[in-house]
Amino acid sequence: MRSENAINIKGISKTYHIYKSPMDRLKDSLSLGFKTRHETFEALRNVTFSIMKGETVGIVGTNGSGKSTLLKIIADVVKASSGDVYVNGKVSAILELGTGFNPDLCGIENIYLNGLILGYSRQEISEKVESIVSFSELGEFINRPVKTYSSGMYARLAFSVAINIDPDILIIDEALSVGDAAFQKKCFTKLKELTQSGATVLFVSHSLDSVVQLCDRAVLLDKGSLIMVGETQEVTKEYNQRLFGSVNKQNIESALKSDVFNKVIEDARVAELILKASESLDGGEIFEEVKVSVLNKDEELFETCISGELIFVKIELLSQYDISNLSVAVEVVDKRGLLLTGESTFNKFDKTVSLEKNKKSEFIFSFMSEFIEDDYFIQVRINRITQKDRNDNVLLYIDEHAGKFTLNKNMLNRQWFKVKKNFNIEVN
Amino acid sequence: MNTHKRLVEGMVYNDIKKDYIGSAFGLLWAFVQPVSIIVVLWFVFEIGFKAKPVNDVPFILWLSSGLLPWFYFANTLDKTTNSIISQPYLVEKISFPTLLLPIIKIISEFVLHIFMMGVLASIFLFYDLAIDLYWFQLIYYMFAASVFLMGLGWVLSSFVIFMRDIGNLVPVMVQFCFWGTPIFWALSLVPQKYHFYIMLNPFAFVIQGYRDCMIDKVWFWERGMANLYFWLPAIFFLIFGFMMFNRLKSHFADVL
Repeated sequence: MRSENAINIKGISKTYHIYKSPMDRLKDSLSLGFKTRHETFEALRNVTFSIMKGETVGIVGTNGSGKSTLLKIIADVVKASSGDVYVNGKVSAILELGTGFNPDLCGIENIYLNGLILGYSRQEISEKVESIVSFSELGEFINRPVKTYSSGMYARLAFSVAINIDPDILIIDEALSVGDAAFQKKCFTKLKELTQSGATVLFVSHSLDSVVQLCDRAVLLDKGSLIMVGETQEVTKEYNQRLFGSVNKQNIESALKSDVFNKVIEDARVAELILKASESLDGGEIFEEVKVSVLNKDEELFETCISGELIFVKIELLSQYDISNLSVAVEVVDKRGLLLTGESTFNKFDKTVSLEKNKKSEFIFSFMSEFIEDDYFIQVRINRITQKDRNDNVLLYIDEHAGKFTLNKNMLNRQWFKVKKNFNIEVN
Repeated sequence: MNTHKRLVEGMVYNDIKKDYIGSAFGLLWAFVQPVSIIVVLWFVFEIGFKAKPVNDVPFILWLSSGLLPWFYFANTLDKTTNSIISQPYLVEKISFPTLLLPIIKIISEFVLHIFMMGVLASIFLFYDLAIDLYWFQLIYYMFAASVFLMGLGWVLSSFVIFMRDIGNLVPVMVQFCFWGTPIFWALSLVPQKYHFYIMLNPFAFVIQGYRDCMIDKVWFWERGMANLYFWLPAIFFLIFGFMMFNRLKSHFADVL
């Protein structure tokens, strides 16, 4: 069952024709005359991937990267200009906050309408109506016309229908962000249930955290092209790098221009090196060596320790240049890519550090591993920063997998939550 | 196919329900509306103008037999033309077989039409006029009207998305056709030599057909070539409309 593909997409392109008036479009589509009356816009370019049954796949990308167009094509609302789409099963889609609700009909009637459109019989829908209504928590409003709903209520109804109608493939575009936190949590739980029973979920969100939490795999789009398909963590890493890359570039360009930057710069060549490093994010030619070792409480290399024990992260840096205004950071990331906690020198001491040419510097970070038993990664970042408000923050180096450790259950002092925070409790 | 059938059923039900069942008197309105028009006309023509019976049938029955199919035409043309632009939520957000939208409107209007025809039949019985074999031809003419409306519906509903003016043009044309069709005037008032041209009007063919069944007692084959002149454009529109619609439907979501 699992090996069967739910969605196969082969070489899909979508070119939107942009017309000055609908009349031109009509003439064009009836091919009257030889003149073309449109400009074109390529929303998707030769995208190919497939999704197996029961997978939860996230689609990430910046605005205008073609995510929504892709979902619309899979949901069969928009036709691809070329390529093949194969979709196996009933598709239920929430595209840009709305399904096909008739604003004049009440909630219940719209549930029936949606069910009929999805291909269910009246009787089959009747069996589901109760669970949909109770899931939506709309109460009295379920009997009022949908046009009287607030956007949150609308999203609730859309979600309740889409989730509870037992689709084979569920497509969600941004919709989750509208509901309140409690409803969102309920949706997440229900989504997990759905995927466990073999449904396929396609998910678009700007919130990488929810993609990371929900999805097994992810697809990265950029300007209409498929960049990569793979494990969520790898894809979000790539996405972040691209996102940071462009933000970085903006920051550094403005920083290089600013006087502040010029004053603090020791060597004219360093500016260029910083620019280079900010593109490659591996430190470029600045650092001769970045050595990270993760050590246990006895300051020995280790792979496994008990949850709650002290962990040291030792970073040895060797720079080829005199360079100031740096900040070194260590972060703990779980295996799905969720950033749990971290600390940086700039944050801790409120000032930057400087490196001397060809002189080794050592930074030792230590923290209590008060996380639930699982596998974790150590992420190391080096930023260049001069301003307190961090507006010229430039990322020079990032290694998501600088280190790795596994925590075992601490039998004496059980860890119940993902991250432990110390609480004060007062009993009066 | 089965899912489409259920979908059409459900949406026709919603259509009728929205117009009538939601209101306090419910389906009564479907009855009151045509009956009130007929009563007003009856009062004006039979009491006021002392209109004479046509073919020994009270004037009001003669008039209604032409007016009811006309209502079916006019209302359906209006509804099908707007069937897509009035329901953008079915085009933009979900995958919906848009080809069905005009069909759904035709069926909803047809159900109401059948209902009104039932009312008319009972008035015939009330006047002690027999419902004979000729009445069975109504099935033929209803079918003819619906096929014609289908083709026209596909053309108009898809074109209006690109040319909104059509939405205003259709009611004007319908008004115009009303007086060009033998509804308020009898075909027999016009010299025989013009009949051919009048019957080229597809509306005239159907409406005269209704009268043939209920009043004039003429078999449809006795109309001869008029049948052909109706079916040629009707089938042309059906094929043309279907092709146009399929060609244009991928643009609907972009324009709406």
